[in-house]
Amino acid sequence: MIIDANTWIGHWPFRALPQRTAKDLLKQMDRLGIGKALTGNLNGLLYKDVHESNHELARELRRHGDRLVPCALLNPLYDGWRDDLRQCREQFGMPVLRLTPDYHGYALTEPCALELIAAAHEIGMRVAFYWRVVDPRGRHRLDPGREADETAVRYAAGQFPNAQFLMLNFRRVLDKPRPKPACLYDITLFVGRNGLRLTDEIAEHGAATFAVGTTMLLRYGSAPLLALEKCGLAKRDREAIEWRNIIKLIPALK
Amino acid sequence: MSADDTVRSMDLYGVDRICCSAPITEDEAVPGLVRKHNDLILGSMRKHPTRILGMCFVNPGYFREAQDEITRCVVDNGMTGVKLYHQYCINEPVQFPVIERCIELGVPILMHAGYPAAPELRQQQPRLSTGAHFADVAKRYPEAMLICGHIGGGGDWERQLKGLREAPSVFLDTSGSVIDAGMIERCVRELGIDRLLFACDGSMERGLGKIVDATLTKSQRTKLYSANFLRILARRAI
Repeated sequence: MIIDANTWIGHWPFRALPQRTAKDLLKQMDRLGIGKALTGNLNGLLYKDVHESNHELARELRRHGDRLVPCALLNPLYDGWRDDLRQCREQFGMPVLRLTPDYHGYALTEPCALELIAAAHEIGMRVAFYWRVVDPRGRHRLDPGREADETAVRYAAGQFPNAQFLMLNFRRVLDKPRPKPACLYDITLFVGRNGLRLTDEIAEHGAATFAVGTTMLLRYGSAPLLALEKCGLAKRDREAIEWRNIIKLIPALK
Repeated sequence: MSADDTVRSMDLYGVDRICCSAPITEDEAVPGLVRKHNDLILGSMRKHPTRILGMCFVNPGYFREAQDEITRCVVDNGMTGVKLYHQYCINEPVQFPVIERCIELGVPILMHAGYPAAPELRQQQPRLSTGAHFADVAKRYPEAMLICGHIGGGGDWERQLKGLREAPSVFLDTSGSVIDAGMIERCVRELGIDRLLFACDGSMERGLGKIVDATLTKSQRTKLYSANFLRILARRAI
């Protein structure tokens, strides 16, 4: 089984996506042999009231709960986020909170961000940091997204020494502040060097550091899976990256 | 990457032959350094003669040396074509002698290209060629085999496609680290399959993955993977 730690559905306002729905995502997953996925709603990046996107996501995934596990988006600068967070966890069954501070107007070093992370941990949610949502070289002028300030990510993660984090669309493993297995990196951007880079990254950081991620439906999905296939890993390590690591971090995916 | 690593990747990903070049991307592209870079490629071709095809990098600003280098690499040592980087835009007059020479030899020119969306990124490569630049020079030289590099090289690839629509003789390679969903289908829709060339630009999993994922017919894949480029190779006049 393969579990995809990094998928989106929804509308991306800066480019016409050919596919946007849960049904579309499932079709792509079937084609690539992906059994389950953590899924977010792109709409929430730009809604004023981000939580409306969580309602949408819960409705859209209701009939696909066996394969698509919803991830919450919230803005800690917006009134009522504590109640919204609780609803995401308790009513919508969302095990992950994705943070996209550029889109919501705060920094990971600000107290509001740390309060949100702490509150998520208190109710048993995993927090996911993004290094970037899309490649900034092709960014629309109104898209507020940037590549994350890694110092800020380190700072925020460092405030929670007992927590584990999901690191999405990072291009490299951060050296601090945590022991590596405490942060699980999706492999979307751990590719390159003519298909040989992922092998080297796994050799350096260990299979326990990585999980499959594709960033569908924003991107084509095959590349990271092809890279993983060509790594020639032992079955145990390959399974760790394909599903064991992410299930260990997020048992709701079982 | 070494030639051996490149061939190792090709074996892993099922690529039979690959065009390689060694452009000077940051230092000043002076003739002595250009020769050294091309020597690397010539060495790789000698080591893997059935797998690696060479593209001769030149700096057109050194008119005589660029012509000599084309003679040395393409005519005398069998390189497949010419590679140009961002020393000048493709439509600047300084390029014309190189383009005319390649027309005479019947070989293609692969040009580094893109349109970074952010102004600060454009400033880093002020002479980066856009689709519109290609359209301009293609009107002057419709018989030239110009290849616009890496549609996924990082930038506003949709804008590139719009510019290239105006240049029906220009080819486009599908490589680059950007693998936005729908990119390849848009390339086909805007330019037609006959103008597209499969490429990896240092990332075989992304280069191959986006083609695997795209909704294409078997015939379209055949053209993209090899037939279109073989047509280019068949026009060699030396």
